[in-house]
Amino acid sequence: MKPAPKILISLGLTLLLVASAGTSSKANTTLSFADAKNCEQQFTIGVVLAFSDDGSAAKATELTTNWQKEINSYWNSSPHIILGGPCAVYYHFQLTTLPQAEDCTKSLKTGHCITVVSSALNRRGKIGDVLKANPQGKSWSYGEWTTSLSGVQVAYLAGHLLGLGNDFSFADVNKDNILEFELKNPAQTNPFSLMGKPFPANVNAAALPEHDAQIAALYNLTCPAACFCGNSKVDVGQGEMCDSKATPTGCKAEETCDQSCQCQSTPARCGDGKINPGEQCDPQASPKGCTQNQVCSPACLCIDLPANLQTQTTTPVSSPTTQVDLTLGKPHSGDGICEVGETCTSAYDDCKAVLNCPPRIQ
Amino acid sequence: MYSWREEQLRKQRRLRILLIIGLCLLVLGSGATFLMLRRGLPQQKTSAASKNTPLQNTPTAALVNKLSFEADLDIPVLDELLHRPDVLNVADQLILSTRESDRYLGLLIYSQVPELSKTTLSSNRLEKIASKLQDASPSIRMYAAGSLVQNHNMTGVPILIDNLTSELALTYMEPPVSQGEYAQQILSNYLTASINFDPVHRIDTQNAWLKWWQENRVHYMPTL
Repeated sequence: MKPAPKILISLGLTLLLVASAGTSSKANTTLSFADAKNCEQQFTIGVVLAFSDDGSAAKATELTTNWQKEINSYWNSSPHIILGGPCAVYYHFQLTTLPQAEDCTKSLKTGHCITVVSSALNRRGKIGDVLKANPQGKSWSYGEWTTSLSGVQVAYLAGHLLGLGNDFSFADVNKDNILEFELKNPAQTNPFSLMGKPFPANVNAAALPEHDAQIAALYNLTCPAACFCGNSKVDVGQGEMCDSKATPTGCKAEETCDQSCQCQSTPARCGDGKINPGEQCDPQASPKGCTQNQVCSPACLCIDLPANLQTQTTTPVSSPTTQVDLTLGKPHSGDGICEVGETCTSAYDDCKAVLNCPPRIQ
Repeated sequence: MYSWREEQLRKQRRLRILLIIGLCLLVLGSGATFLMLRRGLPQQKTSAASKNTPLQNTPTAALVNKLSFEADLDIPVLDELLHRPDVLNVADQLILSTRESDRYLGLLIYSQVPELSKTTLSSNRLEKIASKLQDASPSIRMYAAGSLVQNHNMTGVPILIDNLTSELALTYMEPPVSQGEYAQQILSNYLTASINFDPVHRIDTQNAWLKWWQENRVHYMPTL
């Protein structure tokens, strides 16, 4: 699925503004599909990186570029269909850096801020950590990452920035006072859950559909009903009566499915295959409703064939007068169509050439 | 009038009664101790150390009890705990606990506080860490080895090199890593060698470190 014209919704601070103009954009912690026309949304998560020591600062540009690329790659490796479709979200992590002299104190007032250190472990003894974001409480996250974090590891930590928890736990499986690492869903192996087993560095881990479901719940996302109409499924839960692309559409025979996926009764008209009240025949009906020596006109009137074309003389059941409706759209002399009773079709010649038009094949 | 013999008999009777009472108390005491020990197993939510030691009711103990070890949630508590003035004394008790998470926390404090407070650990505490190199828990052995190296004591290096091939997950680490990756993280940051970790060919990485350590260990004499 290709992103449609997107409305960028900032979850974090859009640091581009901080870096360039020294001002911060007003952060928005909600992701919604308020614009019913946009069933695909891009979810922008701004993250400020504060490289706090000389060792990390020396790698600031390289790490910011690589980490952003890796995080976005893991989080957008497949379309994120939410709420069973047809709405989709795309996650765009926007990493920016603070000048080395600044720490996260100021930035945390307006967005996520991560301190980057060049030591083996951070001050809490971790390779990297992030306080899980709380979208409901609209709190900003912070943490401390070491420069040695791999792409899959930062992508895992970015999951916490979205508010996701772990898909693993530590449990005393063997009842031997020793905790073991345990995946919450051991059957999920190829790929592994990004929030469950982001190791070793070459593991096939990915963001899974259940993560999108969790994010939809965390941010109270709802997909506009309009996005469901036309998806080839009748979504009764979304108030649909039918879907014009579904087979069957969901409407009765005399109904049609409109653009809002509601069944509308079809008004009777000439040519709808039925002989409706006020019609002598219908060219699309079978039988058409006229006698053998009559033809059904596009105006749903039975017209007698000229005597020389009649195969046998019969008395018509009903005896319609041979009247040609001259209103626009009905057959008339000069309309460019050879009709019974006409000798020519040109609207401009004076019909000097006497040619009998054959009866139109209905 | 009591005779001398009656007096002796009474004394003996009293002694027997006291002996029986003593035995009963001993049996009851042993039972209670047994039950307390059983309750102290890691299935419990609260810290064993804080339950059975003077840590109870101290602000530091309260912080220890707040830790859930749900890796991503403990940040504010750990930040506060590691800056408590009595935190090293707390670690002294945590490291002796029967609970693995307590021992981990003790080692974490021993690893992080010296750097945060710009101090060095006493040899007594380094020995306490070294004693955990034989811990029943593989993760604790790794953290003990790492903690020694973080405290510039290289006694832990062979343990780390030994475990470079391990794909077992290291408990309590964030992001979750294998023991081999943790070993590489410590070795590459505290030793001067430049050896890359190959997650596919871990044995090659291990051999490279072994070779390097054999050639360079003289420059890193352990202090224990």
